[in-house]
Amino acid sequence: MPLSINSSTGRIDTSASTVGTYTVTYTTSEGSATTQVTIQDCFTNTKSLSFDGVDDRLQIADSNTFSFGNGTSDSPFSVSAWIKTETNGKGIISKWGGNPSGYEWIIFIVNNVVRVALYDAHPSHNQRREGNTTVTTGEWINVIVTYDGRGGSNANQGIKIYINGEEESSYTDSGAGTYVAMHNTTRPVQIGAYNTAANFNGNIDEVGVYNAQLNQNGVNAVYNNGSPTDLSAITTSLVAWYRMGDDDTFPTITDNKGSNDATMTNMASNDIVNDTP
Amino acid sequence: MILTYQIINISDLNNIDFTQVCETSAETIRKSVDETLFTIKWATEPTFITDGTVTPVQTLSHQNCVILMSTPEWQPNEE
Repeated sequence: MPLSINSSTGRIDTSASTVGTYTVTYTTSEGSATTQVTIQDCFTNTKSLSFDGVDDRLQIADSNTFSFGNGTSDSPFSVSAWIKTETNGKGIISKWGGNPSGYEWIIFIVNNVVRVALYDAHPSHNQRREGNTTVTTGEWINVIVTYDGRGGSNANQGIKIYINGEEESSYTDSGAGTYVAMHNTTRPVQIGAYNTAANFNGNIDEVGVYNAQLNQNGVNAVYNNGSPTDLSAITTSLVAWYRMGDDDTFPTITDNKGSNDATMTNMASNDIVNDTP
Repeated sequence: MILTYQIINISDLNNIDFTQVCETSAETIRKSVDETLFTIKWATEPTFITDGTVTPVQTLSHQNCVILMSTPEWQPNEE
């Protein structure tokens, strides 16, 4: 039913109405008036995915949506996710590895801090930056990585890492080889791993990919004071959004923004769990 | 659900019935760095283990398998 009115109370029954905007006309003996009523989806987050740190991962087929370089120059992008690590948490999300070969970018946990690495086509040509916040095991945190797309030998300085809405207070930068820009490869995207190894051990929820560099306001909106929120309402730069179990049916994790659905790989239906930030 | 993790010789790959394990396919398994071993996990012992068609190199709990996966034999370098 598009818009349901309780005939006894005259009130709108939102739970029985379909999402949309409606024109409601009130008619009395003295005339009529109209008003607009909008029924919106109420955002809820009750699920996340549990990764075993051995071989669990999400696999997303290659798409230009996830490439932010053309070999000559880079373009800005951002990634957001809620994570809860257990021991040895590793790959959060990546477009990196062999078979099919392609080395573009990785966001992962190493030595209990978040590291971002960009690659110029080859593993030994990279720009890396890691934050200084120790990621505590067993605690949900929000991780947002932004990159301004500057490219070149100082590309890592265009990376910002935010933990729970706050930018890291210091960074450790490193790099190897020559870096001009990332290349657009055929490598699939993986959530919870890179290179079909370095698998994440813990939970990941609400993963967003953006084709722009989120600013502090955008970061604040995504973090939302520690409460996951509707990413599609924040910015039009959102290009992929994985709810990680909410409204998903094993083994498909729906892309709620684009059309790049993810497949739960080496996982079972009970890896969709009721554990959320 | 408690899962059992096992390390299998790559020579036994063709003997794995992927309908009986959590791994999706032969193409998605996690291999050791030297690609001589791979992992499987299951809740109910697969028939290919029960009948001896495949003899695991090692049987592990989840916790111990995670520890093994972080060793150089299983953990490739980032670059």
